[in-house]
Amino acid sequence: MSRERFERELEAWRDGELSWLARWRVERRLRRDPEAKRRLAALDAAGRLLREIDADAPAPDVWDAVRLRLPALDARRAEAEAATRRAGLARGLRWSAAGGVAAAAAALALVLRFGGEAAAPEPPPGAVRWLDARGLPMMVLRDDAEATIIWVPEQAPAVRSGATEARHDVV
Amino acid sequence: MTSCEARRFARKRLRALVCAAPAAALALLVVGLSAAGPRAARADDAAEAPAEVPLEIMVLRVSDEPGEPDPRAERVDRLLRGQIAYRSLEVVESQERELPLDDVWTFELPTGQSVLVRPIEADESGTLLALDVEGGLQGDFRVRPGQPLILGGLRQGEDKLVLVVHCR
Repeated sequence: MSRERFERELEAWRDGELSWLARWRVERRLRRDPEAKRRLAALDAAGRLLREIDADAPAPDVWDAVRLRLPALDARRAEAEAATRRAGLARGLRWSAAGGVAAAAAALALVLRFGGEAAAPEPPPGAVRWLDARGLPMMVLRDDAEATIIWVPEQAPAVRSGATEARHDVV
Repeated sequence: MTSCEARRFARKRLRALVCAAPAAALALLVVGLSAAGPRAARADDAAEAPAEVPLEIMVLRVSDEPGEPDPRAERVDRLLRGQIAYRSLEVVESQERELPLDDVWTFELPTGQSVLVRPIEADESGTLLALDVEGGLQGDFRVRPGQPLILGGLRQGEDKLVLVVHCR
């Protein structure tokens, strides 16, 4: 086994990455070869040094890292929401197009059928819109599509039939 | 957003607009027709609104004395029979006039009372009249052709007067 290959296997043995046979071979050489022991000691020292350097270095600020990511996350979320809105709007427009065609057809049919008279209220058949007898007794004997008969007696007349009760305001 | 996504969104938006454009145009057309319909109807009404209203006013007298029926008052007689007790009905006076809107027609009853008639508006459904009998009733009436307005009970001696307003 060459030296370079042994060093790669030694590092792998330290990291626990070897199979049981390769591990048995490396451990047998460590028991028999002083050079291999020195090499292992050098690797351990280098490892300790690295851990010490990492320990002395300031710990990374997690909040700073998260905070720096937030604008990007917000921007990406805003883009995604805008895209969703646009897609929803497009879907809505497509649905509204179909619904609009149906509603427009119905409205057009109504307009063609009834024209401007559809919303116009039907006037009452009677003629009386407002009435004031200046305090005199008064009877609306009839107020329909055929005639309007209003009687203002100085004395109560002999009403035979069909007369309504006296009233002063008829709208 | 990458340029590819941007182009995809642009294409989707364009497709949506292309799909919505005919519906929007049709909706605008319908709204326009709906709005123009009543306006056109009002314009037609205004165009058809007569400048002058043909009115006929008859003054009748009902009495407990027997008398010959007057053919001019045949319909009024038929309408009043069964409503008011009387034995005869005669035409005292009859006048016709083409009255402009908002003009006042003033005439005098045999009792000396004045009657004021003013057409307020007129359309195909009839004429809205303001009527005022001096010392008697006053009111607004929508008088339609063939639908007489009959105001009665004004005493003249032993008889009573009846005012009949026709809109021809």
